[in-house]
Amino acid sequence: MVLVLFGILTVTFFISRVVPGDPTSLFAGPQRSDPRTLENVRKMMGLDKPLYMQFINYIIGVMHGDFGFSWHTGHPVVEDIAKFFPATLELAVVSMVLALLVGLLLGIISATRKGKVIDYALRFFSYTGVSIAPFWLGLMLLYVFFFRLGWAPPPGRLSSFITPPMRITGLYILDSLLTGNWECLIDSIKHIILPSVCLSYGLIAHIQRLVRASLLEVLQQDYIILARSKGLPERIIIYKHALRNAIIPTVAWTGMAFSSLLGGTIVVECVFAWPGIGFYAFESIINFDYAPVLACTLLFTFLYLVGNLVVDILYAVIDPRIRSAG
Amino acid sequence: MRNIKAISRVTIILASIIVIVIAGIIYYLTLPSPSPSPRLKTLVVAYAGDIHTLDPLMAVDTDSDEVIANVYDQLVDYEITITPDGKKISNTGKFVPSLATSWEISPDGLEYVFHLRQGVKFHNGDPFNATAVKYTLDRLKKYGWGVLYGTIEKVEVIDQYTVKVTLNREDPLFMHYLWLYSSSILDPIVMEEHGGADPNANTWIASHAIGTGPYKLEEWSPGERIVLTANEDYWRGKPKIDKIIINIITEVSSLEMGLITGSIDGPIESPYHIPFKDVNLLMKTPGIKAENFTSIAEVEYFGLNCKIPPFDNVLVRQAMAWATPIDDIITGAAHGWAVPAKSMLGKGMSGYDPSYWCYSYNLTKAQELLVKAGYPNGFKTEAYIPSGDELSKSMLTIWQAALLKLNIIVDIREVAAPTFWDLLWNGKVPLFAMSWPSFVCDPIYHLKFLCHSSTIGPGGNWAFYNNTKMDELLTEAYFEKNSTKRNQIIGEIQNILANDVPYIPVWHTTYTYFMKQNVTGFVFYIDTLTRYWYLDIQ
Repeated sequence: MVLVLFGILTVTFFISRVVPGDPTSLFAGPQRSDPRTLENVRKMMGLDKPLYMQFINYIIGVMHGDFGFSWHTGHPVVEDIAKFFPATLELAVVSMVLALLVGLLLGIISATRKGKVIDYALRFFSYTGVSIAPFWLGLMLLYVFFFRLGWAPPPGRLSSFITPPMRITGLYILDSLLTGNWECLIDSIKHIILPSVCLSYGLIAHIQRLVRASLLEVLQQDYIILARSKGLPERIIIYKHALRNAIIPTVAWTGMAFSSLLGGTIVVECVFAWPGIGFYAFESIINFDYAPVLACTLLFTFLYLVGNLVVDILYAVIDPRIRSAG
Repeated sequence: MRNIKAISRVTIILASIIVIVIAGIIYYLTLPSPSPSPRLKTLVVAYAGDIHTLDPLMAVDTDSDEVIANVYDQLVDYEITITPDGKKISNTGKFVPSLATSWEISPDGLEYVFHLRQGVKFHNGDPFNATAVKYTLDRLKKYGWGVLYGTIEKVEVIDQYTVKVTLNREDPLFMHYLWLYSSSILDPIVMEEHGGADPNANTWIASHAIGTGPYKLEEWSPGERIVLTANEDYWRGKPKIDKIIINIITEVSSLEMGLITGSIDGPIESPYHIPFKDVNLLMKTPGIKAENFTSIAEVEYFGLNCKIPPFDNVLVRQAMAWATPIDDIITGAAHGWAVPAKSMLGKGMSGYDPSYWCYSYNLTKAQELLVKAGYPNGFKTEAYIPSGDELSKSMLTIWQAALLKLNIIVDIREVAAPTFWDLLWNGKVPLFAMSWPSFVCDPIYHLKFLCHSSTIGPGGNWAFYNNTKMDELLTEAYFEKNSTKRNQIIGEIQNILANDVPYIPVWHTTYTYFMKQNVTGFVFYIDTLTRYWYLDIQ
């Protein structure tokens, strides 16, 4: 894992430096770029040193836990990530839980009622889920539930008049629970509903399709035919025998999808003014803010690798054949 | 039996969870939203982008500038006047006391003595005095923008509330530079505790602000919001609004929905936060009022790089001016919220004279000039825009369609912002669209960045325009004290620009500020930044 991270870091570092573009323009200011100001800003950003020195200094800094300074936020990168990542984590967890609950159930219903009207309806629903752009869906949800009906709160993690809870984890719902801040708890739950519905819509569609497809395949297996011939009720066959085998592809997909969600979903974060890591990474990229770009790349790579590992472990938990083979 | 019961139990549990989740969603959605404490007057504003720094020396984006302008004070301010139609604007021709209560300028213009306001404290209780002014001006002299502060020779503390600034040459605009937000007075004690004056060493100031201004920085959650609270001991009087909450909402549609539904009070400015295309819709929205101001020190223009063929030929540049459909561009790109520009000067600047700009949309004249220049069949060229700049894209697209009639093919290329500036500074951009707002309402300040040979490249002269006569006139006018003579020189400058056409002025922007009906007291400043101290909520 360390080698992979180092490789990604090296490639990202050098690619970001060779792409045409001068970040000092944005931080010196395009309209106040006399040579002295530019020189000062370059020194401040460490860009006056040779490239290899910049790389070495960066690596030394990373080994000491210093991921540099973000020029577009004015904060150390570590502080920024500690601020932005929990927002994405919170949204990702809620979205994924919602997606799993609903997606599993819909997938089972669709598979067990194959060919019936409900199956067609759910398959149509899944097509919309994988086709609809999250950006559009988010705006429509806001338009209907916030703008027209007034049911949902305005975009953001909290209402303007609520002070965030005392920071323990950075997850507002959890921190509110832990500190007994009920007003903040209710408000943060209200604010997370629309963005998590928006994010989970596509996830539900994927999970539903996966569960349906794999369940249908499993239901064709010999041991299922045997179970039926023994006279077992259909529900036992599905929930006790078939689902456990059918869920394996879903586990794999969910693990990787969750890692991907943690990488941030910039469009949903922008629509709902959700200050997540995707928004932070995007702003860093368009501003050529090297330090956060590198740190975010490392973080996303790490999450992806951890996601892979967790999926492998879950495979072993669900499938005893893998455990005994190991 | 037992198995069937177990399976039914599973189904029931699963279905129950789903029902509880949906019920919970409905329950939480129908709970009333929190409202502000009735004892605290709170204004909710929104920015379409986060602030980048709170260091007055380094701030270059409007959002950062606005927060700084409300948290800090400068030595002087502009007088506020009321226009015939009842709007309040800053009068850039008259200075009024701010942190300096009075000042004297020596006859040779080289020495400025400021008498400072006594009894003023920084937000943390540190005293404001001559040491703070000297510290700030020394920092600006050493690390600040040379064009503005390069004339400062030395700053002396005469006594606790008197400062003397000596310039190395006369600068007629020096007082204006002291008004700018970049000249905000800093607390030297706090600066030294966090690394000193050097912006390389002191990054604390980028995310913190201890000023003497009407508002204190209570909170900056990057990407989320900024909260300002009233400075109860403000020397001008406690602000009427106790708290300003600035939400960061990057998606314009979401921001506008907030404004229309009333969750955002405003003021929200167009075109910076709200695009021109939505102004008409918001103007008709009940519950929202709009205050419009035509810019006095700004121009939106097209730039033509005088070093890149065929724009190195003045006849071609003149042809391009004749081929610019200004009215169509204002209608299509600004949706009517601009007035045609007939000079590169701001409309409110002394010496502004539209009579020199003889061009109108005339393809016949354009074609004649192209033939004379040796391009009877047109040519191909490129225009660049920074990624996300939808306004420049609209302007260039409309122009592109008009130029096509002359067989001039413009390839519009969108690149990342740093790449765009890199190319522009290095003279690789043949055509571009740009806005040029000046925070100092002076024609020579406005034009020297655009037209002087010393500012070619990064300095602002992105047309790479080099004219010795222009350099001489700009310098002469800068120091000319007789206003009649000065205006004559400025007229000559506008005449040269009309002949040489390194730039094609397109429009002067109409700024619109949207706010709830009950928000009152808005004052328009030349830098377009809102000063919350003047506002009230009825």
